[in-house]
Amino acid sequence: MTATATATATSGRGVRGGAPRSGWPAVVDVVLLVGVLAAALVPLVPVYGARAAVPALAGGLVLGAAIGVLGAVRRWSAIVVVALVVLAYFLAGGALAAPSTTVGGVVPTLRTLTELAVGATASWKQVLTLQPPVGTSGALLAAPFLLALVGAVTVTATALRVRSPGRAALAAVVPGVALVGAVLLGTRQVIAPVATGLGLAAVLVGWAAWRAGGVRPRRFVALGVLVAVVAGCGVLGGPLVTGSTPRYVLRDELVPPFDPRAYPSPLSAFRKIVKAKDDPLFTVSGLPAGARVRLATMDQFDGVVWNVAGDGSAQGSGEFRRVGETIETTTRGDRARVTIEVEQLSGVWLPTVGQATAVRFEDPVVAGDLRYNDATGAAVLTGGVERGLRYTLDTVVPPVPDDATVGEAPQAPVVVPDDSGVPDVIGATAADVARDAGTPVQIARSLQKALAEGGFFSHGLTEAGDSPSLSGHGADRLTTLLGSDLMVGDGEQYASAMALMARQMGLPSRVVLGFVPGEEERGAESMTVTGDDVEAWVEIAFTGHGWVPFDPTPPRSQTPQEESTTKPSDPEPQVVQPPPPPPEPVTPPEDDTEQPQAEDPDSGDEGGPVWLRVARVAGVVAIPLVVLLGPLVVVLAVKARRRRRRREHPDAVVRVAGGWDEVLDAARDLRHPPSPLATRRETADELTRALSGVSGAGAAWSAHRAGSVVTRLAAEADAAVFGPGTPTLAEAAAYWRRVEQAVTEMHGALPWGRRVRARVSLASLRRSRRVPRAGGPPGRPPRRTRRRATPDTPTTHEQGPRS
Amino acid sequence: MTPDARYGPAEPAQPAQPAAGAGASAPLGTTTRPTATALAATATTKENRAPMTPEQTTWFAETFGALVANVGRAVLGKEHAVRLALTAMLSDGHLLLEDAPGTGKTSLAKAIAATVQGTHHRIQFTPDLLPSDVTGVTIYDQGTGRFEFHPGPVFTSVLLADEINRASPKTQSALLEVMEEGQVTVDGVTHPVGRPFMVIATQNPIEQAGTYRLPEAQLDRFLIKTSLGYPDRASTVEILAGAKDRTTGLQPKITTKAVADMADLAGTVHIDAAVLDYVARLLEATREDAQTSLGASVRGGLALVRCSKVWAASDGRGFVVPDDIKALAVPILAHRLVLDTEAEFAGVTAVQVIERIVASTAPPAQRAA
Repeated sequence: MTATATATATSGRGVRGGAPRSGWPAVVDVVLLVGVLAAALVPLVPVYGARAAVPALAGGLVLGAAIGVLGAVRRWSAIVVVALVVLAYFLAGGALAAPSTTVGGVVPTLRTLTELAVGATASWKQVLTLQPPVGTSGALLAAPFLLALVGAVTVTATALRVRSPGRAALAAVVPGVALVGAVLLGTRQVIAPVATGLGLAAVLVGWAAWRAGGVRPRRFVALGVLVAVVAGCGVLGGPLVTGSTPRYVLRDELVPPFDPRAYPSPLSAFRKIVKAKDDPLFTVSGLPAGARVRLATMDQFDGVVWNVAGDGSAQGSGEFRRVGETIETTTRGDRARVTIEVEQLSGVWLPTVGQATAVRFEDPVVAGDLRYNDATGAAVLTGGVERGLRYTLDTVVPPVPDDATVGEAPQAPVVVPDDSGVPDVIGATAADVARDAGTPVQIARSLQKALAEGGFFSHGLTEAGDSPSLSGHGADRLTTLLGSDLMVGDGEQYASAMALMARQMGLPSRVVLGFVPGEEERGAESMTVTGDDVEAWVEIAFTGHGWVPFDPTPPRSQTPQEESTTKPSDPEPQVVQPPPPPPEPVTPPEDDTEQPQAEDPDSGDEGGPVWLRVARVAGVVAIPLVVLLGPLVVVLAVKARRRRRRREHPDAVVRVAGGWDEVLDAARDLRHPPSPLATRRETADELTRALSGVSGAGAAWSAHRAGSVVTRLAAEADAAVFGPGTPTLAEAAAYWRRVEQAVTEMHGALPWGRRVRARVSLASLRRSRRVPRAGGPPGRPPRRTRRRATPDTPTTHEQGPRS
Repeated sequence: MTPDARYGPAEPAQPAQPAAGAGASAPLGTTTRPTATALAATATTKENRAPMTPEQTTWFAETFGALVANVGRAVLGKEHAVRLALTAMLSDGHLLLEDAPGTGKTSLAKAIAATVQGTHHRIQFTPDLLPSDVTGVTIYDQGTGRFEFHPGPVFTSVLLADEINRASPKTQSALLEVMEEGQVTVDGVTHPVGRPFMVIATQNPIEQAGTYRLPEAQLDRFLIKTSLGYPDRASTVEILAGAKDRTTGLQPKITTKAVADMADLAGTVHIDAAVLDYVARLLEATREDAQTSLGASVRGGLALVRCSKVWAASDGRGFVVPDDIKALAVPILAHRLVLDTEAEFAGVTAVQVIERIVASTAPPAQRAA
């Protein structure tokens, strides 16, 4: 109440306690709060550029403060103030927020008004979607102008007009809200965030305490210590909590999602990669034996190219999403850590191995560009990969099952995108090749064998001596491949053909573009992947086994030159009637386990990262909790220690007296401080009277019980202290039980909030400093009691050595 | 060192075993017990005494309650004053009632006398009253040819000294020896009065003309000085309805022997050194107070301790708590102070000084080390 008292004193009006502010305190309120509000809105400046933003912000603040103060002085009603704010927005908004629409930058036109009206809602979105600095066009500045105007009006009106000091202090919340809004609308540019935040918090909390009347001069030492502790925690804990994570701004969230269809099919670049056969594309180290490096997984054929559906429309490829530190996967297999360093590889596709559980970039900025498709394990960098990019994959490489293992497993019920423009020859050839096959895996194998054994390999690099082979894998090229006398092609064509043939046979398939390290490098710790290692293969999904790779490409040695003499005589297979199609795949009821995204949850070996993440989140939550609750916990601990000391004192008399002191301390915490000059009975009477002043039936009953228990406790404590003999330890223990019951009853008479406040109140801890110790002759050192009691056990001195 | 030790160990007096139903209508057997001084009976050291048993305290409290109730039938609505008066009796002390006329001083004294089954005499003090009218005279018996002592009215259990301040100082001081020492010396021969022996003196503070103020030494002899004050309205209505002397119908409730036993028993009440220290601090405070020219004496302290034991026992306790001291400080200490002239001029009373001292002296909360 000190602050209010001085406030009313200086104002000279002499209105009681909760009067609106006036005089010097009011000036301090307005200047301080508007200043803090201005500081909170600073993050908006880089969005617009200083020249554009400052007039709008400053104008809004000044106008808002002026309206707020004027409203407070003239005692205008809320409606009038709101009307003034609207008027100010439209009149001053032209010059401050939409200068480009005005005449001479000042006089508003009709367009100014419409722009401002629309801008009040639309400018927020526009600010976020435009690349900063966004400038002043249209009513873009309406957002900061409104923030400043409304913020300033709210702050001044709350601080000056609200009568209750406690509620008026809530004005300190407004700059905090404005700060959050400004940060969200702002850019990632950060200026000394810890210092700024601490400064703002200190000023706001300090002002709020002063406004609420909680500042007392004698508390300044404690206040200083507290501020130092909080500042220390902020300075040390702030970086720990946030680390170097970039500021979260809405602008980042509005980046459009990655659309792989905006990029050319990676498979079309097959020949281009092949041509750079000796150029090192990237270096991979730690690659497990037999593992392949995946670049892209394509599941949609449109008659021209295989491409990535990637929009989530099909389960086959899922969609490309941002991922966090770790990626959940349910794939089982060998764990590996693979490090990849990009050399000459270009494009958006990021080489990956197996199913990644974590992707770590050495450059944290790049990490934000990562999009991952957990259905295929493929990854893209929206910013494109470039030379020198280095990253580490924690990955799970699923084992490749052989045909016997797959056995009779049906194809997985994976939905793949619809194909279009599939040449007829595909279906015919597939049916012909697979006519003897029974199980799905046999169909797939027969398709693979037919292509790999019946075809010839050529990259079509005629300068290097290859047989002519056109690039591409469109319908026309595939017709040529399958329809001509000589099947010539490379992975691009064979994989495309087999994938389509498999689909014709009802098997879910997809084409993978990737790299298979050359024979000579296989197994090495670190290997350089060149264009020569590029490969395309087919994956087919089987229930219970996931996507199983098949290599339909003939061996490189199987070139048309060698085979032409023998092969041309191969008779064109008779056009036979296609065999009856294989039975429609029946979906077994239990096969929902083979969704690419939902396999058997692996309970055991995934615990580590999850545990770690939980611990990290807990840590982030815990630090502010510790800062906030720490003092309370300390208070509770000190009280518990005091209670234990009293309760376990070796002298039973002191123990009982300590029990009474515990009751007194509870009373102190409940703001019924007993007089130090009162005897126990008087204190008990006084306490009973004080407790009976509560309202409510239950509370009154509780207070009544507490009163009677306290009276009894006082008499018993007197009997123990002043009576002859010494109470037994059992009596002391029984006494303590009643003490605790009494304390509970005393608390029970109170509403919840006051009860908690009493528990953490410092009142009972402070008393030893403030008032002289109650009782005991002066000059008697309090330690003597303990010293006397320690040597012999408490039960031995029945008639203690007092005379 | 407790104040008690000044008197050294007294003879080990066995506390009377309470008879069942004591304090009921049948008085206990009457034996007049000649004792040494009343002080020595109560001021004893603890070492020779077994502390009161819970049964004894209960008996004491019940008996005390019965006495209070009996006296209360005659003096309506004055329980506190009645308790104080009975406390003075059981502490082997004397009571001074100072109040305006017509507040029931005499009724109280008569009621107490009637409650105790013993003799009681009344002396109406006047300016021409002589000491021999109080103590008794030795006259020559012509029949036997010897001087014979005719005991005065002081040879009784309860002596009501009405309007004591009207008597001349020499008559007042005749009471001195008998009040302090329980014996009368006439013509060199000492005659002990019986036990219990209690003087209930009344004085009127209003009519100071033609009166002799009691000297400080004499005031100090009175254990308790209290006043009755006017009864509240309900009690007044009841008194008016009765409109006759209520003391006449009272039956004696306790024998003189039982009174002496109770007094002995009260002497065994335990008082902790911390409480004694508290009393000592109160005494010191009265001496050091700026508004007193003479503080309470050690006798005052002894009186306080003695009464606090009875007060505690009457509450059913075998030990004294600081609350007892607080309750008794004003009636026991106030009349022993001599106020500073300036304070007196400023209208401060001794009661106010004692109340202030009690309110500003911290009572003990812990047992003395």
